[in-house]
This record gives sequence, structure tokens and C-alpha cells, in this order.
Amino acid sequence: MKLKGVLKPALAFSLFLALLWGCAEEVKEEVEVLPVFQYTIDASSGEEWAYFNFSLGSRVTISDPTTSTEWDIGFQRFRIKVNCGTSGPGKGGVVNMGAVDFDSVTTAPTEGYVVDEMLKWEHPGMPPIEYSGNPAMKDWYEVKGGMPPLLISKKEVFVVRTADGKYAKMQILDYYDEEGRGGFITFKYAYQPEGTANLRTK
Amino acid sequence: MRRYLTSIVGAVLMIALAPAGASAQAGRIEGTVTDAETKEPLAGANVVVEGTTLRATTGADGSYVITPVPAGEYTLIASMKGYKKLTKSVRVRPGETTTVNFELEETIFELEKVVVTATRTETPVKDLPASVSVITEDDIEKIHTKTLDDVLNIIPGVSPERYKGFGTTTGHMGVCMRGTGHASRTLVLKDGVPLNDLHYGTVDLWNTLSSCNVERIEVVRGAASALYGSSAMGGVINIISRPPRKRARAGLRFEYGSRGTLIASGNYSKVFFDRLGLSISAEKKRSEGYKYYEAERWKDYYKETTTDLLNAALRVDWRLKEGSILKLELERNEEKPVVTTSTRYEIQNIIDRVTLGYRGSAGKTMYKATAWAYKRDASTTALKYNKSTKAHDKPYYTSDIPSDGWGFMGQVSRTIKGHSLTFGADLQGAKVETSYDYAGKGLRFYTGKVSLYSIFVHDEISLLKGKVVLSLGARYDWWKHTKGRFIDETTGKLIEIDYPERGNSAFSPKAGIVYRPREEIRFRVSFGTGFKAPGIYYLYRSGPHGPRKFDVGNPDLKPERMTHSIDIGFDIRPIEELQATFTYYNSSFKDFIYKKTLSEEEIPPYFHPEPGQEVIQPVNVGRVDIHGYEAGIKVDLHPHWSIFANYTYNRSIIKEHELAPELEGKKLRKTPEYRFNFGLTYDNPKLFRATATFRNVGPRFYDEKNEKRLEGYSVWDLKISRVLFGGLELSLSVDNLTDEKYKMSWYYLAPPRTIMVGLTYKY
Repeated sequence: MKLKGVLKPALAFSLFLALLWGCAEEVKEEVEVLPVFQYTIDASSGEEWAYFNFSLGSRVTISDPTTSTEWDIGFQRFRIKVNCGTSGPGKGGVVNMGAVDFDSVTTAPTEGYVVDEMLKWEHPGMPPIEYSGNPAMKDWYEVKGGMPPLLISKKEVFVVRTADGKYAKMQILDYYDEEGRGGFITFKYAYQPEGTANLRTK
Repeated sequence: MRRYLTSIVGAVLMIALAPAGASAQAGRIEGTVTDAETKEPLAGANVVVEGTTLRATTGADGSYVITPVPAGEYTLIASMKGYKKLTKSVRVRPGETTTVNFELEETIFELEKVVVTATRTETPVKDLPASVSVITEDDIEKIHTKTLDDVLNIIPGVSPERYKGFGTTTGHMGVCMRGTGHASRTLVLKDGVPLNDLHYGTVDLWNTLSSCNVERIEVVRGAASALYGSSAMGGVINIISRPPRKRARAGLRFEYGSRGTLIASGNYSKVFFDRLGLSISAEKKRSEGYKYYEAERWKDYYKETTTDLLNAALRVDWRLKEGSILKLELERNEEKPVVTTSTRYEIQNIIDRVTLGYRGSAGKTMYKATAWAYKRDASTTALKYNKSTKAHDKPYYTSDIPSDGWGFMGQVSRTIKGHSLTFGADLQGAKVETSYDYAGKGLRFYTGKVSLYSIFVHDEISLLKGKVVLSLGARYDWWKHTKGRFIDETTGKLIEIDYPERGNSAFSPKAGIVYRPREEIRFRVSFGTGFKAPGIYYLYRSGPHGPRKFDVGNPDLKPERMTHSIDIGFDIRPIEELQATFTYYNSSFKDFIYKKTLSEEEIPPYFHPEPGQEVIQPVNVGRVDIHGYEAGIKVDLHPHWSIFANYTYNRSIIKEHELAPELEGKKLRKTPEYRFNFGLTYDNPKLFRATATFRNVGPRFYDEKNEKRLEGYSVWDLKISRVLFGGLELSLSVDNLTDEKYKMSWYYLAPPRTIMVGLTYKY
């Protein structure tokens, strides 16, 4: 006689618990947020490229970039290359998301990745020279006149596919160090180690 | 009247008593006309029998004959351009030859002087539309001339710059004219051969060029590219050597003074057997230098700049038939300064020159040809100061800059129906190889070649019986720069860049008119254009420039162009003792070389500047407008005093500057607004000769932004000399008599008072 009275609230409570459980699971999935890192790489050499690996979160030394998959992105002063195409054997690529808010880029696009090719440096009267670089990241800066002229980042957000096909997003903040020397690039980035397209940082 | 009657009676008697043959009634005058100083025969001199149509012109040997001359007493007048007229009385006896010789003195009046620089042929100044100054041997001796730019200091419109006295190295000294702001815009010649190199466009011989054997220095103001091509924008300076002459000349000079400054020279010249002329000279100069920073800045391990200079020259002239001369000249210049501050630079510059010249005539046509070549080697060893060993023993770099140059100039002149025409062609070339070896890092260098070709024509038309002379001329220059290369080993990987070949050309016309209503006054108007071809340094030099800058060459550089250079002026000599001159000038040049800081993306990736180095490339920009005036006066107060004074006002303003508009309206750097010169000479051979000169230079800006202002300064110089006996003279010279502290550069103090005692012997 007494059991019948307990059953109704027990069922209700179980249902409630089940609902809670379900919600909690969902919220947990929706709330996966990537940490944001800031890094300054010394790419000031006029000759040597400086290579960076997103999963390690640091600069790496590469003897031959055209055969190595240990690097994701390379810098040489204001020039940038990504491990793909003419620059390396990796699965890299870049999509320029535009000068948007860093946190507003939450998902890596499925297509439109620009691959590295031979770019030409040209100036009237001077002999031209070619180098391997990524066309989507070629114009990341604006030149502000003055003596000397300064490179100012357009603050575009780039989604970069790493050498092993994972995704990261990055934004170049500054080209100069505290002493005003050029070639010390400070950028912020978020890396998705699981290989999914989720790049949510907030 | 009485003489006339006597002549008639005499003639009647002669006719009555003479045998058949009218010539027996007349006489003959003959003789030679020579230069009073050199004793050389004067060809082309006129000898006129006053009041008659009897005249003669001297031949190549200076001799003349006037015949037949009716017996009687006459006045003979001998004249030649560049010399004072001389008259002599002569009595001609029937059937006899009377010899009358003339020794003409060179004229001392500016207007009567003959110069070669303004037209490339000997022309009296009075026929020139240009503003000209002539510095004589006497001017060079009157003041204390240590280097030739010392004597250029007293000329209006000329701004010699010498930052550190004797120890001033190339790049820190030069002569600038008419407010053009840089020594590469003034052309300097030695006997018509350009001394400006094609590497920087400047002259690096001011320290070693000797004043022995300098006969005169001609200064022609204003653009003269119509005659001489590149670098003749502000004006032309021509150093004319004294050729060997029949009358032997020998000289010895020994001077010693403050801070171990020494000048010693010897020279000898003579023409042997009327055929072979020989001239040799050698000059050595040395100084231990002075402290060129203020006391607080002079660290204890800094040393005064010492220098050792040598000039040795040999000249041989072959006098061929009919007044033609072939000459060969060899010259060696050596300069060894040692500059010691935080870096010690041991420098050695050696410049060897050879010149082969020919001048001759065939009838009324004159020919001149000159072939020349130089070999220059500038090497530097740089060592940094080591605080632990307290010595300059840290190897920094060594550099070697061999550069060779050569040229050929040929011209033909002829007078046809009142036109004095000259046609000519000039060729010039240079090759530079520079290498810098950075201790432990390897070699970095650039090389390049330039070749210039040109043709010119000049015409002088004499109108209104010589009262008006019209000058017209034009020249076409074209050049190419080739074999520009940059090589860098210092990064561990060999970088070789081959610059593209480029060429350019310039057309330079000129026109001028002189009006001489009377002998004492000359009005002149002159128009000219100029240009400066870019030097190999600006085309191809790449590499670090001091610790904070990195140069990148620009093979696309165009010439700087002076679009117009106008002169209007007059010269007067109201009385024999007074000469005055005034000129207003206005000029403009564009596409001047400006060092642009490159933005990152403009820096060629094959160059590797250190982080933080500003990368600079020369480019052509803008326009500079210049105007000003020069006024001068010379007074002779017989018998002992003479005075000169001149004032130059100049304004050079940057009117357009596409890359740095904030510079528009600024004054061109290093152009003073005024220069005032004053000189007083007391000359009494029985006592002494003393010349005091005063120079006041106005303030100027050291930088383009006109923020670094250099104060104006005044300097007094004094030279007193006395002839002891024979040709021996004792002298005392004091430069910067009041020990004025002033600066010619932002960084260095100019030399303090210098006292020197000297002994010269002249034969």
C-alpha cells in the first residue's frame, strides 16, 4: 500500500536525475574551450628561417624543412611559410578569416586552404628573387610611413592546418620587440590537439 | 712740323743722290717679342708702327720684320693678348736694319687675363660671359698655402670644406661652388683632365696636390656641362701647371711648425736644346695632428690623427716643329693617415696618374688631344679598442678599394669668318672593386664599371668690332654602368648578385653674351645647364655602413640635373688701381640623390642587414632652388699696399621632396648664407711682405632637417716673409691667428692656431 506512494516521486526524481545527467553531458560537450597562448619568435635573421611547432608550442630547429614534418609554420623576418606545397611534405594550408575578433573564429573551415608556392620578390632595377611561402599569409601587414617605415599587423585571424592535418588558429600581434627591433614576431594562437575542427576559445 | 720738313728734305736729297732702286731710301725694322718673365718667344704678337699701316705679326720663334720703312723716327707698339702693351721709339735710317726687341709683361688685370677653362681654348676674360676668377702664382705665395684648397678659400662663390686640417681623410673634404652643397657637383681639372673620380664623384687629391709648379688656378662659376660634362654643376676649377721653359727654374721649400707639421718640397724645370723640356718635383707633408673633440669627449686612449703625404711628379715635353708640343706626365700621390678613437683606422691611399698630351696647329686650325689614366688603391685596416688590454688590438675589418680610371679628350679649333669654333669628343671610364674582410666572418664586396662618351661644340662670335661676343655651345653625354656585382661570404653561404646593366644620357646647352662698351667695363649674361652622372658607389655599394646602417645600391639611379644656371653681372675698372665685380645668379637642380630608408618589403632578401640596422638606398628626388650674388673689389695703393674684399650671399632651398615633404622649405645642408673675405698685403722688397686675410663664414645646417646648426665663424691668417739674400726667403705663417674655436663639421673642431716658420729658395 505504502510502495505505491513512493513510486511516483521516485520516478519523478529519477527522471529529473536523468534529465540533469543528460543536460550536464551536453553542457560539458558545448563548453570545450581551447587555451590561448602567446609566443614571440626570433625571426630577425636576414637569412635563416625560424620554425614553430603548434603541438610542442615552441620553436624547433629543422635542418631540412623540405623533408621534415616536425614543423608547422616558418618565419623569416616578415615572410611566412607553412608545411605544405613547395615548402614541405606536410598536410598544411591556410585560410585567412579576415580581421575579425580572435574568439569569433570557432570552427576550422572544411575547404579553401591555400597551399605554399614559389613567391617572387621584385623591385625595379634590382635582380628579383624567389622564395617558398604561403600566399594567404603574404600580406599580413600594412606599412606605416615614417623613418624608418614600420610594419603594422592587420590583425587578421588565420586558420592554419598543421603538418599532420590538425587545426590551429593564430593572429599576429607585433613585429617588433620592446627595443623596437624588427623580426621578433609576437603572435597568439589556439591549437586543437584532437584533430577536430573545434577552435572555440571562449 | 720740323721733323716732317726734315724728312722731306732728307727724302729729296736721298732721291737726288741715291742710286737707282727705291728700296735704298727705306730702312727695315726687325726684332723679337718675348715674355719678360720666362724669356720665351711670343708667337702671334702684333708690332705696329704708330700712325702708319706698317705692321707685322711674330712667327713661332717670336721674330718679326717690317719692311720697307721710310727713314725717320717712329713709335713702335707691341701687343699680345694677356700682356701689357709696350711702346718703343725707333729711328730708321735709309738702307739700314734697326733691331727692336720687346719683352712683354703679363697683364695683372683680371679682364685682360687669358684663361682656357671657360671655352676650352685660350680666351681673354673680357670676351667671356661667365664669372671667372684667376688665382696667380703670386696669390699662392702671398698666403700660407699648405694645400691648394687653402687658396680657394679667398675666392667668391667657392666653399672649400676641410673638417680636420691636414689629417682630413677623403669624404670629409672637398670644394663646393655656388651653393650646390656637395663636392661632387663641382668639377676639378688639372690641365683640363678631370680629377673627380667616377666612384663617388668627388676629388680625393686635395691633401697631396702640390703647389710647386702651379702656374695658376682658373675658377669658372656656374654650370658648365656644355663643355665638360658630368659634375660641372656649381662650376669648374682648373689647376694649370707651369710647363718647363727655356729659363731654368728651381725651388726648395722647407717649413716646420706647430704639432710637428712639416712641409718640404723641391722642384726643377728647364727646356734643353730648345727641344726637350723637363720638370721634376717632390713634396712631402706631415703632421702629428690635434685633438678634434672637446676635452670632455676626448678619451685617454684617443690619439690625434697623424698623416704622411707625398707627391712626386715628372714631366717631359718634346717641342716638335711649328710650335707643336707632346708632353708626358707621371705623378704619384701617397697619403697615410692614422685615425684613432674607439676604432683605429690605418689608411693608405695611393694614386698614380699618367697623362699624355699633344697640342699643335696646322695653319689656322689648332689641335689638342689628351690621354690619361690613373690607378688608385685605398686600403684600410680597422681595429677596435680592447678595454682589457688597453690597446686597439681587436681586428674589425680590412678593406681594399682598387679603382682604375682612364680617359681621352680631343678637340679641334678654328676661326672662320668671325666664329671661333671648337669641336671635340671626350671618353672616360672607370672600374671599381671594393672588398671588405670582416675578421672571422669573411669577405663582402661590390664591383662595377662606368663608361662615358660625349661630343661637344662651342662657338664664339665676335660682333660690333669685338664689343659684343656671343657664346653658344652644346654637349651630348651618354654613359652606361655595367658589371655591377655584390658578393657576400659572411653568412656562410655564398651570395652573388649581378645587377642589371643600365645607361643614360644628358644634353647640355649653353649660351652667353658679353657687351663691352668701353675697355673698362664689361656686362655679361650667361645661361648654362649641368648634370652629374651617378657614381659607382651609389649604384652598387651594398653592405654595412657603420654599426647602425646598411647600404643597398640602386642601379636605376638617374643623373642629377641642373635645369638652368643663369648669371648676370658686370666687371669694371674705372681707374687702373681699382677693379670691381658683381654677379647675380639663379639656378635649380632636380633629381638629387637622397638616402631613403627602405621598408621591410623593399629590402632585397639577398642582403642581410643585422637586426636593428636601418637599410638605406640612394634614390633621385626633388628639386633645389638656388640664388645669390657675389661682389668683389681689388684695390692697388701704390707702391706697397693692395687690398681685396669679396662677399658671397647664397640661398639654397629644397623646394620639392616627394619622399620627405617635411624637408620642403629647408636649406640645403652645409650651405652658408654668406661668406666674406678680406685681405690686405704690404709689399716692400726692402723690408718684408705681409698678407693678412680675414674670412667670415655664416651659420649653416649640418643636417637636412635643419636641426643641427653650425655656428658662423671668423678666421684670421697672417703670413710675413722677407728676402734674406739671393733667392732665399724667410717666412713666418700663423693660421687661425686668434685661435678661434670653430667647427666645419658637426663632430669635429677645426684646427687651432698653427704657427710655421719656413725657408724657401727660388731660382
